[in-house]
Amino acid sequence: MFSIRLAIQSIMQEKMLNLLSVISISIGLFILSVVFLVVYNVEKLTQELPEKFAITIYLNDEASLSDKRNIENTLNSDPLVKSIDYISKESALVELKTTLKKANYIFESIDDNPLFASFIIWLNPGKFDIQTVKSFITRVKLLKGVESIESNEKLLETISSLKKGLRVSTTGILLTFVCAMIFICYSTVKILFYRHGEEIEIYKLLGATRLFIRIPFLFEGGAIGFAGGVIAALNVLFTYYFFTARFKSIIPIFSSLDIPMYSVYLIPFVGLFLGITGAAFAIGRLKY
Amino acid sequence: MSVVYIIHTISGQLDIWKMIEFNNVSKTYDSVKALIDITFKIEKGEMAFIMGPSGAGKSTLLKLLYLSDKADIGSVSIAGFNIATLKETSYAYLRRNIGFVFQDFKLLKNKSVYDNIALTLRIRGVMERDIKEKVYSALKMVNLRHKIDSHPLTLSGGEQQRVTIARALVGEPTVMLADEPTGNLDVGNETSIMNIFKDINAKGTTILVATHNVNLVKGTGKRALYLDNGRLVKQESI
Repeated sequence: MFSIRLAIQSIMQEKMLNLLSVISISIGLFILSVVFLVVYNVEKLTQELPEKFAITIYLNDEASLSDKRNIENTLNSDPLVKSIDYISKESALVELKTTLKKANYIFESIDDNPLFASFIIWLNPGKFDIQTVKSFITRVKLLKGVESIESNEKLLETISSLKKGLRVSTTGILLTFVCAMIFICYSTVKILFYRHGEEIEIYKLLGATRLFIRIPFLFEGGAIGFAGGVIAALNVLFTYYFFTARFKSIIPIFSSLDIPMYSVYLIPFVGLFLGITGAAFAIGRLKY
Repeated sequence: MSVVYIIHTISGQLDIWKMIEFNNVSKTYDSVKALIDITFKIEKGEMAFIMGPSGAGKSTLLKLLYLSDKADIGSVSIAGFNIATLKETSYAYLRRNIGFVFQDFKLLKNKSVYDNIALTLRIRGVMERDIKEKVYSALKMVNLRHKIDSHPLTLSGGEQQRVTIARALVGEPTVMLADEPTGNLDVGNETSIMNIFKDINAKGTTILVATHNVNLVKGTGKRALYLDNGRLVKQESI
């Protein structure tokens, strides 16, 4: 209890220094939270991709009924496949005619049905990644009766590399900011420790243990981190509601932005952890 | 009484009758010999003075006693503990058996008289309800009960020194060390502080006072150890 009192007294005594540290940490945590939210939303959007992403397998005209069955069975047994739709040559033509209603004259000069029968494959979200899709396409291409395969492989590749890049840069940003915040707490506590040098000398002479002297600094580091976290969390909430309310009508993507509330509640505790870690490093390196 | 104290008593490492003991102690700072082959003993309940001019080695000698420094050669014992055999982690517990009084008081300026004295007990984990009574009793002994809520900077030098003595007293030390305790005080306050030391000593606390002021020691009938250029040159009762 006395240690907590000492920490509170020190915080009150060194208001400006502590305030600066709290603001720096809140800025750092705010940037971290924004980065996290961007990554979270990109991940969420890409997870929804399989529902919108389909592979079309065109069958050649020579494909027999048993070839079709074989293809269908192979597809059905693949864990990547969620569902398949079969579109016959005739249905494809009807669909095309419906689509090109206004340009029906195109079909007047065509006697035979030039379209291929096809399977449209809907993918399973759980198994969805570019490598699995690529190897799946390669496997299916080898099946007898398959004329060609149409997939948005390029789009998938772009999204995949975007996700990879985002993960790498996020990890970099995360590490940099975490180190920076730990360093801020470390420096603050170290400065505080030296500013209290005379007091600490007196504590030592009166029989204070190393732990007794150090614990208030741990509390102080934790308090700085926690306060920075609370401010950052409030900022994140304010920014989120401000942007979604203001811009969702102008920029549609803002309406689909999501904020996981647990992560907002977590921010002060991340601050607390970083504050204590910085303080622990600082007092661990001190002579007494 | 600390755990360290009990353990050492049981293990026989503690000789409670020799409160302070120097055996052939030498200390050098950057080729300057601060103490040279010092040997003496202060018995339990004794009050003694370390005398000598500035630079004689008085402060160095006290530094070794309050564990701020270590002897290069020889052994130093205090409150029955041989400092050389103690781990640094035990220093805090040993210091709880020693009361310190300094020329510059070493009071926390932003804390009240009460909090300065209570600090000794708070460090030891004494419950707040017990602290009040002990602080009052220590302040009564130095006749400063009425200044309990004052801050050190509002007190005179003599009053600040009495607060320092009360802070040392409240921990019920077995040994009290004072480094030039009257160095910053006028003659009236010198006498008053010396009388407080005598009262404390009369109750059984061993006291060692370092001073260059011969008048302070004269007529006390106590033992004086004279240091000169780091050597113990004379011991006598004056």
